[in-house]
Amino acid sequence: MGTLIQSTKSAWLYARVAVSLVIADRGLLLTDLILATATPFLAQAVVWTFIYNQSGNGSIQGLALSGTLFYFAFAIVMGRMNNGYGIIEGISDALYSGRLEVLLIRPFSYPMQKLADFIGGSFVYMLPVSAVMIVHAIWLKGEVPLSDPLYFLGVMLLIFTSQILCFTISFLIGLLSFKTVRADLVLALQSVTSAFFGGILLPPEFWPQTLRPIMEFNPYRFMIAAPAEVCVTKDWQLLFASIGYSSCYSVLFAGFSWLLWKKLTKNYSSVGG
Amino acid sequence: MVFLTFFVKNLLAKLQYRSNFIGSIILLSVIYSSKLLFIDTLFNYSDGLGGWSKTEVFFIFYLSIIVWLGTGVIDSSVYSYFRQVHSGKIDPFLIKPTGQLMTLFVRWCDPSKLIILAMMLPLGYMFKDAIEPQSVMRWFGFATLVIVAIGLNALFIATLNLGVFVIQRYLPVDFIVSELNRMSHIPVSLYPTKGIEVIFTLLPTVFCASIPAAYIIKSSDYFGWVMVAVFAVYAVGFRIVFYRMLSRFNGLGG
Repeated sequence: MGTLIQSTKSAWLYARVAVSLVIADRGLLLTDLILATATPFLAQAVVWTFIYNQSGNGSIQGLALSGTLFYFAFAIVMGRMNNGYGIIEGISDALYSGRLEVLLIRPFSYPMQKLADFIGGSFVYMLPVSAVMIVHAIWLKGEVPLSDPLYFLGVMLLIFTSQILCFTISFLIGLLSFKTVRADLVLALQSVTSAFFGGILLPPEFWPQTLRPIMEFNPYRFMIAAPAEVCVTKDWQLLFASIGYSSCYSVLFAGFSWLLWKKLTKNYSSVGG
Repeated sequence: MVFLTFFVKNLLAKLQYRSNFIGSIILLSVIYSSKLLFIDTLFNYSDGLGGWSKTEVFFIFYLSIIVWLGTGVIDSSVYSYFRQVHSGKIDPFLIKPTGQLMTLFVRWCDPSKLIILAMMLPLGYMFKDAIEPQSVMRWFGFATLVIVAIGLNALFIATLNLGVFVIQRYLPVDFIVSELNRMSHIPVSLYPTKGIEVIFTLLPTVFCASIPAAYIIKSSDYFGWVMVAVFAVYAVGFRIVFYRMLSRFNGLGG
């Protein structure tokens, strides 16, 4: 019991520091919040407004123009929040500069440090998500799926599991740095794949039939697209399925990470610095 | 001569890291194919974006690849220059005989991008049916516009980086530009016509591919001239502001 309280205290501390760090970097936060969300959204808005006006039938794959635009808004802010960049970069950086040992001997285990750090940082990125939720509710005069309290709780649960999923998958990718040390390429690749498979380019149902299975069942979908979809359309079935899938994927990736972590730290000898 | 020395030295240096170079080619092909699939799928829902057919939009996208590879040669030098500024290492370069503009745009350039560019150029042949036969003058104008677009991109990146002189710390310009780059496949005709010139002046990189494409495919001269004018504004403005800020700069960085 004592250790549990101790760990909770440590986790809280790490999370709090993460929040302060994100807020302290105000310039970066502002460009991140404004630019990184506004430009991808504008790019989609320009194209889709044209396509909807041109086709004239008001609905594509069951989504009206406003639905599609809100889907993109949700997906983009979810993509900002569930962004494993910091985790992967942190692991690779600690290895490269030879700081890993220092972090390893702390009483609070390293993966847990990273998890608390990640969840803490996400608190700040929950702000744009909530902002889109509020704008969505005002735009549709309260007639939104999230107005049902029970459904809202379900969506929150999905957002939470999507965070865990993002953490486990990024930690696993980050462990690759034990082999490559510098993760620049992995980082760039991961941001492209998460945008493509996560549904920031297009909602999963918009892709052609042949790509559909990959787009619907890859882990990135449950990290980014699924929370956005359930926010736009009320779909209990998708909500439950997504919570299930993201939990299963999390357990799977956490298992792999655990095995790899055991193996790598056992043989690890640092030369960095 | 200094130019050539920097160019060759940087090329040789880049080619030393072969796996890095091959890795970046793999990365680029992943990025390009995901974007191609995206544009292809867009046309499942539309038979023309603002009067542009699928092949023509693919051509804009192809052109944006060419323009950005060309920009990549210069912009890596610009980023390196300002990294020296905010980490407090620029002072030694200020007392060297090489001019500051040369240091800024050429000292750390990345000529290996030209190799990838040369690999991409033959692909342009695929678009031979999309472009109607044009006079030699128009092809010449088109080539000029592509080069102007590359220069404008580099100037835009350098201009954003001027903020480093003010705040004396890292500014995420590369990130800002790569975000703007997401819009470069969109034809000009999709944007609202009112005030487009203002948007263009503020964010020229968004249109770096669509304007040369419109010039050669749609024979629209107007935006071509706008682009040349904006380039001139950026070139003159940047030179004045850069030297003014540089002469007042008191580096604290490190």
